[in-house]
Amino acid sequence: MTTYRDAVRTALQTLLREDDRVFLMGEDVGRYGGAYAVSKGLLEEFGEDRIRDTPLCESTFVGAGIGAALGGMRPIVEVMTVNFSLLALDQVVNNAAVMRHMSGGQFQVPIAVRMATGGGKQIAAQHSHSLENWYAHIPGIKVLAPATVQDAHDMLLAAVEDPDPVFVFEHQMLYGIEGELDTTATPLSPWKAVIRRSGTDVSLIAYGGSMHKALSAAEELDKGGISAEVVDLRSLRPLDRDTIVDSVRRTHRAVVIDEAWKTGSLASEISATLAEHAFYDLDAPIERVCTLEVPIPYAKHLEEAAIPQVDRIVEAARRSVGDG
Amino acid sequence: MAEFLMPSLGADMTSGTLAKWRVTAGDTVKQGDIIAEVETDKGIIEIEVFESGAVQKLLVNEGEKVPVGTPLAEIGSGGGAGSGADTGADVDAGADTRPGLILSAGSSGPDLSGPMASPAVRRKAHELDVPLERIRGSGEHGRVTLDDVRSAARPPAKPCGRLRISPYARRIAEERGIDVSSIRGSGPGGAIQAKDVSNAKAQPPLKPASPAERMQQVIAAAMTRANDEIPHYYVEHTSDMGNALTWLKQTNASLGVNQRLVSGVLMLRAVALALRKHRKLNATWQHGEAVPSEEIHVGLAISLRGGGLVAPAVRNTDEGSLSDLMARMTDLVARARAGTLRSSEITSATITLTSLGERGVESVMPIIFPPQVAIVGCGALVERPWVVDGQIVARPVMHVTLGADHRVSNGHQGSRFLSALDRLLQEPEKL
Repeated sequence: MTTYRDAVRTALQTLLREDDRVFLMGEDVGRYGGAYAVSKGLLEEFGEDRIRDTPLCESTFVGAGIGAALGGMRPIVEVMTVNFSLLALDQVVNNAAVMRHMSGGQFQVPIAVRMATGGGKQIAAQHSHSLENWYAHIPGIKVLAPATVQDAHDMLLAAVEDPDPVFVFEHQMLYGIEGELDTTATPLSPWKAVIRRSGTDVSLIAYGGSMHKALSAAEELDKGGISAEVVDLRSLRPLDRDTIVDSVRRTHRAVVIDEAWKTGSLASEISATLAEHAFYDLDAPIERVCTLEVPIPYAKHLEEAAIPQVDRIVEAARRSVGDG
Repeated sequence: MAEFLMPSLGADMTSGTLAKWRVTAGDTVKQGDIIAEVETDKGIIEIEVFESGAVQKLLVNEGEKVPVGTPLAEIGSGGGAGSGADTGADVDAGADTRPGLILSAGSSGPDLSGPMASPAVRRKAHELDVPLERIRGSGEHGRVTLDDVRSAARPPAKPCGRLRISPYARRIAEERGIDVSSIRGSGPGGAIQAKDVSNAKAQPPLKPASPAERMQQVIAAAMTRANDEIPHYYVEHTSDMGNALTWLKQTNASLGVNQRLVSGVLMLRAVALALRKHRKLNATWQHGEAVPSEEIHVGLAISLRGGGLVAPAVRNTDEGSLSDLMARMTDLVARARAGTLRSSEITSATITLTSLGERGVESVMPIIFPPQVAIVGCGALVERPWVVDGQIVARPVMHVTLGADHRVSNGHQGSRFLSALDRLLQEPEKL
């Protein structure tokens, strides 16, 4: 068994060993081993040139990464949390996302940016938000959200390989989970959603940290005789519309789970997509289970109450099926 | 480019079989030409075209049964020979195929080919009591839009609540022929969900009705609606028909057997002329108000062998000579019985005249044929003691009854109409 953290590190090692153009930079990735200990030991193995600690200035080191990518390198940039990444948004939106377009295809920006997202660790409102939908809004970049150990490994490889900017969102509660990692298997396409559990009565559509809560909810629902299907989105941009719509066409009910605030969320986007493409197959109103519209609280019970939990998913699914 | 549509030839027609094409692609047609024959519950009806131009394409094959409103052919507009079509007449005639005038008399069996429509449209249709399956959708893939529903709306017979049903449940109910109105929903807020539809028993397939049974169903629906919706009042007058019969006898003496007039034609013309001064009775009820008709088309109730009943219009009944009217009436009766009526005759009557005198009944209290607002009933011509100039003499008399819609006219106006009718019958030479 491998942890999610180790799976990311394994991918980093593979990339660093096999391609001289690859380097990792970010706050505390070197001597400290990364805020979530993902890069522990890499400085010793690969040296200061390739494992680079940066100043606390996201705009600078994301911008430097974009420049390096333009210059032919394959930079991997770690941003400590999505909240801090907002300081680099100008570099992302106005440079990384548009360079290929504005140069008429002459320049590509093959940068991979990793960052932690989500709540649940009691690190309060400046370190706990889920803003990946802000990134998924931007044409010109791609957004991945690995939920499993295997995906944590495979998606980082795919992100570095991709010729365009790819943002990988690692939910902070997932670093410790364990799972099988097969580094020899042919990886699934990172751009496709996957059915993690098959069911017939309702589709639970989730990604990242919420995906595991959806699986737990499906177990709970099963005890009550409701067969829930769990769709793991995996790619947030582009969205795999076909898999989502196909699932709902089978189950006729949808519960979308998203740790972002409900207003303007990916859950909204998926709901609208279902209304557009599966309208005549819907047997109940679409349910959304999202974070309450407050800054994520520090207090444990309040934090738990704010973000989606298994019981809220179960409730929504029961309402949808009609047994609530 | 205009589409020639399967017309609605009566209150309850939902579909018709294209029995025969009278034209082929490439033919030039002008307004009023008979270009097809459609088989309905009322028999074979000849269908007139309301556009002028070249027939571009026939879209439906002979023998094919299609819902009302289905395009049957494409007619190229303009350029057609003799296309001096008067637009006024066009609008009047074309109105018969507009969804808004397709009347519902209540046969509400589920339609397997039910249209796609959003919940908002279904809700609006439900609120306005418009059967969706009668509406031709103008949206993408034939989807019914809110505008389609509004234009097809008639005033609701009774207020209805919204039916809460999921789009999927609605779809499978239509596929399986299940009436959702009686299903109890188990979903949120009592909404009907797919499993509720699955639990509901499918309705037994309708026994195929004979043509006579179908016609009776149509009549039943129209009359039920008339009785439910129209506040009827009746006034009756007894007319001395002596002058009329004497005049008929004298006139017929000089005419060949084929040209002889019958008393029915005098009554037909007298009704039409009396209507000229009583326009309120020559109207149709549309969208909650009476719309007077400029033209007078008296419908003639004709009983068919086997028990059917049709009331095709003798168009412009107040115009032309009596002998011309006689010829038109004879032709109409013959064609009604042969089952070759024309679409305009089926739908355009502005009032109906029914006569049961042949069977000996002395008076008849008829029910109005919607959307008309009046009907005239004649009993038998019978000899009765009658006072003329202070003397009791035997005279041929007839009971003439007016049944009228009290929303549109009142007894005073109805009585004046019957008086006018009586005066006209006293001077048959002026008819």
